[in-house]
Amino acid sequence: MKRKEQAFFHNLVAITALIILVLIVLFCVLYPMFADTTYWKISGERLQRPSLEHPLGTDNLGRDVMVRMACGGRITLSVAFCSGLVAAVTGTVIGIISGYAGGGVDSVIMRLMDAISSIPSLLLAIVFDYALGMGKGYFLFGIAIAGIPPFVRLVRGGVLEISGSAYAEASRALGARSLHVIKEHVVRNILPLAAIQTTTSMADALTICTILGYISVGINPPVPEWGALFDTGKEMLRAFPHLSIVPAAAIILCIICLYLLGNGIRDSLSIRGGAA
Amino acid sequence: MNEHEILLEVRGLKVSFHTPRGIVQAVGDASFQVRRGEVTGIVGESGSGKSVSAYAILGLLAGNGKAEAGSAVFRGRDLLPLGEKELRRIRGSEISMIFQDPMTALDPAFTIGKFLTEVLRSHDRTVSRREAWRRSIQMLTAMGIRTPEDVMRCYPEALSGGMCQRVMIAAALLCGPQLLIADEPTTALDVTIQEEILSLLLQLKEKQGMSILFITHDFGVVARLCDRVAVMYGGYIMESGSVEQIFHSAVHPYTQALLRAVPRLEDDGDEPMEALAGDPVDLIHPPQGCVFAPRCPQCSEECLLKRPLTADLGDGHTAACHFVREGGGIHV
Repeated sequence: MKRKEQAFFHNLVAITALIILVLIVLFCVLYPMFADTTYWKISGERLQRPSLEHPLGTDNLGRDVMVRMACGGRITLSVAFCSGLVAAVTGTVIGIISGYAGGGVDSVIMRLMDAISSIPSLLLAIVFDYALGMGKGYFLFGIAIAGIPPFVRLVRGGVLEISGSAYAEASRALGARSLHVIKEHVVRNILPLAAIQTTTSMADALTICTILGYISVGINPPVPEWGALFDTGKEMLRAFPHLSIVPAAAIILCIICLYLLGNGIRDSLSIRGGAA
Repeated sequence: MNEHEILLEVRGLKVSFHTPRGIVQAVGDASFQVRRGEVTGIVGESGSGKSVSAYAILGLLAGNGKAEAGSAVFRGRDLLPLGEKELRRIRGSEISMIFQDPMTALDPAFTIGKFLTEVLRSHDRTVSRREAWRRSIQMLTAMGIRTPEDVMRCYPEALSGGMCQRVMIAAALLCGPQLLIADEPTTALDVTIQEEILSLLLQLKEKQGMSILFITHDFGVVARLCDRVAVMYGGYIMESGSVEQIFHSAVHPYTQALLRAVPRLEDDGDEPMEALAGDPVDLIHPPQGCVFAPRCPQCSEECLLKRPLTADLGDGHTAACHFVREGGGIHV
């Protein structure tokens, strides 16, 4: 255990990525609490350039962009983290069931997963939003469901590989329960794979969430969202480039950090560098 | 406790696998026994059913495999009809098994310490972690590992093949089983390490009176370790007897051919090694007569038509061949 932690801390890139993510999250959570304005309040002249009072200036309605970035981040990031986690947990459970049960159950589950992955995730999110009530955040489930199939495939593959492995057989021969074999060996060996897949699906969820914001689906104005902020900014790209560059940069930075973090976790958890 | 009490008696074991290409009869008819304090070897080539027989005894066959007939009586109880739950209690604590490739038999995600203590505690939840740790270290020491504490903290990747096999043997013996099934435990190891593992097993047998069922394809290993040998081919026991009987007065043409195929140091190397012509048995369509008949130099018409019965040659020496007569004497 100690060795693994060391490996993680030696992984400077992943640590930096984690620190950046934490800082972004802290900024999103804390900044609106201490700012003397909120995301919907018109707090000054329209389209001001960055100043001490408004660190990122104001938008076309005179609202503080910094506070809107922070509040937008709350939405975007929580959608990304939550749907990524929901996909990870559900996908892992379904994958273990599928790989362990085999036969008909396995076939049905896997065909179902094929069906889900044949629907574009963006479309799935839009459908959930329209069907269950707009502006209530139901699109999150759409994003989460779209993230499930890769998890199921990954975990199922791992379960099949590990339950057929020599060491699973050896532990059965020494009297271990087959459920114990699953619990101990499978979970432990799949962890690195699941970790990287979790950050990947969070990054995917973040992308979809911002695309939805960009096309004004899911979250209604005046609630900000990074994709929506980018959308507002792009109309004034020449005169006020920071209005679109800041949200775009935030989106890209978060996605990159999520991927790097996933890589780092994988490296520090994987054994013999085996699991890819 | 009777010295030569029969610990495990397998009779008429038949194992088949249902595959998409047909029913594979991996073991047609196998009978052998392991006596207390003795090492019984099962020798045979790949696909002769030697490992499958062992797996069947412990109920470890793959999902499509089934022990269809016979019995495997271990201390007065037939193991074949037992359910998974009862078998699980027997595995590890009464009969243990070690495998061919020790490097893959250990989960790379766990330290040796975690692995060994889990083995102990999965059989007896009342053992405390501290106690399990202590007993594991004791067992590793008994396996000739000089730095057991360091090894306990290692991951399998850090250990050599020989070390891994010692750890596996320690795990197998941790719960004090009476029978150890060793499925080619030295095949994946270097010759020098092989020798170390063999002398460790020999020591276990001599000092602790451990009974071992040793599965191998190596006659040299058999000569070194075993008291009794069963020679298997195509899912049938061809000949069985004490090591002396098999090495010095083998009567079955297959055993004789196998022994001739073992290279010897005295050979000058000019003559090609003797090999057995023909192909291994097709287990989906086994021959009607003796399974060895198509490759047998002495094959007669009777051999092709009728499966030979096992003849008792006295003193525990048996052979299944039409040319061998009950009570000894070879009929030509």
